Amino acid sequence: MTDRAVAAAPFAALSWLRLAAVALGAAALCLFAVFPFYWMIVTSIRPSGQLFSYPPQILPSADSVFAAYSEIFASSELALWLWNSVKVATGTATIAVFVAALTAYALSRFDFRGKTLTEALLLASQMFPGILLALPMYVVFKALGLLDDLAGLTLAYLAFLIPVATTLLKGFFDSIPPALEEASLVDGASRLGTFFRITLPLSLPGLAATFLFCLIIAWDEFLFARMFIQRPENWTVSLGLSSFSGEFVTPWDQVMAAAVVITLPVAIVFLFLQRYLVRGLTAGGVKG
Amino acid sequence: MAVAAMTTAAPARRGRTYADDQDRWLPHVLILPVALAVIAFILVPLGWGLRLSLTDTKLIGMEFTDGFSLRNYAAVLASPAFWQAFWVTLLYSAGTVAGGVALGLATALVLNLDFWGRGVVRTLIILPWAIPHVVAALIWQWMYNPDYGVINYAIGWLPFIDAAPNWLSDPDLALVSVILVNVWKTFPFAALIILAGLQTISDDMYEAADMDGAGPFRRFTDITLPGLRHVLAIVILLLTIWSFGNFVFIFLMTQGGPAGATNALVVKIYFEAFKFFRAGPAFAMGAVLLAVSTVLAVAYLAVVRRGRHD
Repeated sequence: MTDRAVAAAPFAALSWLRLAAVALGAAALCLFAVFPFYWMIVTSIRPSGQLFSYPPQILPSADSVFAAYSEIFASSELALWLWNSVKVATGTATIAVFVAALTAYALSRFDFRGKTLTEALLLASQMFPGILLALPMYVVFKALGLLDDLAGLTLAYLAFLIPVATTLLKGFFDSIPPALEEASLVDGASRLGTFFRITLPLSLPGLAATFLFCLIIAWDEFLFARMFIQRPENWTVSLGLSSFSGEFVTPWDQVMAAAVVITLPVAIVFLFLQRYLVRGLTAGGVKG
Repeated sequence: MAVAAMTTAAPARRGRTYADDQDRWLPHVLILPVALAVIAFILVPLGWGLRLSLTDTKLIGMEFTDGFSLRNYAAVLASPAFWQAFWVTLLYSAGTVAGGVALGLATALVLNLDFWGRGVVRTLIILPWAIPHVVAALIWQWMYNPDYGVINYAIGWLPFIDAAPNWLSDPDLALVSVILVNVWKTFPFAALIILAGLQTISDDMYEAADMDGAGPFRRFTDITLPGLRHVLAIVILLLTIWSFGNFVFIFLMTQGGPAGATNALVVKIYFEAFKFFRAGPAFAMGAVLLAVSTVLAVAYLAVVRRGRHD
C-alpha cells in the first residue's frame, strides 16, 4: 500500500469540473491561511504616509521602506522585551526538559503501579484553562514575593510546560527500540547508566524538539505574563506587543514591524517541528 | 514466595541482570520530579482555588476568612452576567469547533490528494498555527479596522453592500469576528490531525466501494467519515477545550465587549479578579469552569484510550 495510492484513492474519479472546484477550494484555503501573515509583512514595509490611505494597496508599494523597523526599536523597548523573552523561554525550556527526561523514560520503559494514573494526570493537566492555575498561583506568588519577577514567571511556566515536555519526551523514548539497551544491561550496566550512555544520545533530536516546543509556548504565552508582570522593564514580547492593542492612534507599520520581529524566529522553528508535534500533541490518539 | 514469583516473571530473553533488581524501585524514583511538579504546580493550585472560592478573599494577601461559605456560589449562580458569560463561552467554542472542523476537514481532503506543490501548500496552511497569539490578535485588529482595514475594503468590492461594518464593536458581529480569528488559528491543527486519520484508512475500502459503483459522495459518507470517527472526536474535544481556555483573542480584541457580547468565562474571571477586585466570585466562577474542564478532560482521556485499544 503506497502513500500515493492511499492519497489518490478518495478522488480517483475526479472529473475536470471537480478538479477545478478542488483547486479553487485549495486556493481559497491557502489565501485564508496566508493572507494575514502577508498583510503583516506588507504593512510593516509600507511608507507610513500611505497607511491610512484609501483604498489600501494590496501589493507592496514600489517605495517600500524598512523605516518602521528602526523606528520601533528606537521608540519602544522592543529589544529589552526580546531579551526578557529569550531569558524566560530558554530558562523554562531547559528546566522543563531536564525535569521531564527521567520521568518520561520511566513512563516509556517500565510497568509499575500508578503508571496509568500518572499518564492520565499528565494529559489531563494540559487540559485545564490557564486561568484556573494562574489565579491561585497569583495569590501564592504574591505572598512569596515572586510577582513582577522574570524568575517567578519562569516558575509559573514550568507548571504547564513540565507535563507537556514529559508527554512529548515519552513519545520520543517510545520510538527508540529497547533492544538497543539490552546489550548494555546484559553487560551489567545499571539502568541509569544505560539511559545516560545509550538512550539519551539516541534521543537528542527528541530532546531538541521538546526544548524548542517549550521555547515556542513560553515565547507565545500571554495570560500568566499579563497577570504576574507589572513593570515595563520586565515585559516579555507578548506583553510589549499587546501594549499597542487598542491604542487610540496606532502606528500600524511599526506595530507590524515588531510583530514580524517577534514572529519570524519562532515561526521558522515551528514549521520545522510541526511533524513531531502532531504526533506528540495527540499522545498516541491518532493511530499509525 | 514473592521473590520467587518475581524471578519467574522476569523477562526470559536474558538472564537476571543488575538492572532487573533496580527495576522494582527505580521507576518510582524516576517519576518523582514530575509527580512533585504536577502536585505542587497543578493539583495544589487547583485545590487552593477551590478553597478560596469558599471564602471572602481579596487577592491581596494569603489571609482569608476562616470557615466555609457558599455565598460566592450563590451570588455567581444568581447573576445573569455569569450565565451570559457561560453562554458566550459555549457559542465561542461551538463556533470554533464548527469552523475549525469544517475547514480542517476540507484542508485535509485537499492535502490528501496527490498533486504537484502539495508540500508548499501544506506549509502555507500551517502558518496560522505558527504565529504567536498576540501577533495574530494585532494583525486581525488591523484587518478589522473599520476605516482603513483591508477586510472592509474587500467588502466594498462586493455588490449590493455598501456598509462598512465595525467588526469588533458591533454587538451583533463581535463574537463572530473573534470566532473567525480563533478558527483561523486552529484549523491548521485540525487539518493535520484529520490528515493523519485519512492516511490510516485503507485504500482497499475505496477499491471495494468503486467496484460496488459508489460515487465520490457515497465513498465520503460511508468510508471516509466513519474512518475518521475517532480522529474527529479528538479534534472536536481539543478545540472545545482550547476555546474554553482561550483568553488572548477576546481580551485584546474586544475586552469582552461590546455590552458583554464576547465576555467569555476566562475573560470575565480575569476582570472580576483584577479590575473589580472581587476575588471570591472569580474563584467561584473558576470552580464552575474547572468542573466543565474536568468533564472535557475525562472525555478526552476516554477517547484517546479507546483509540489505543481499537
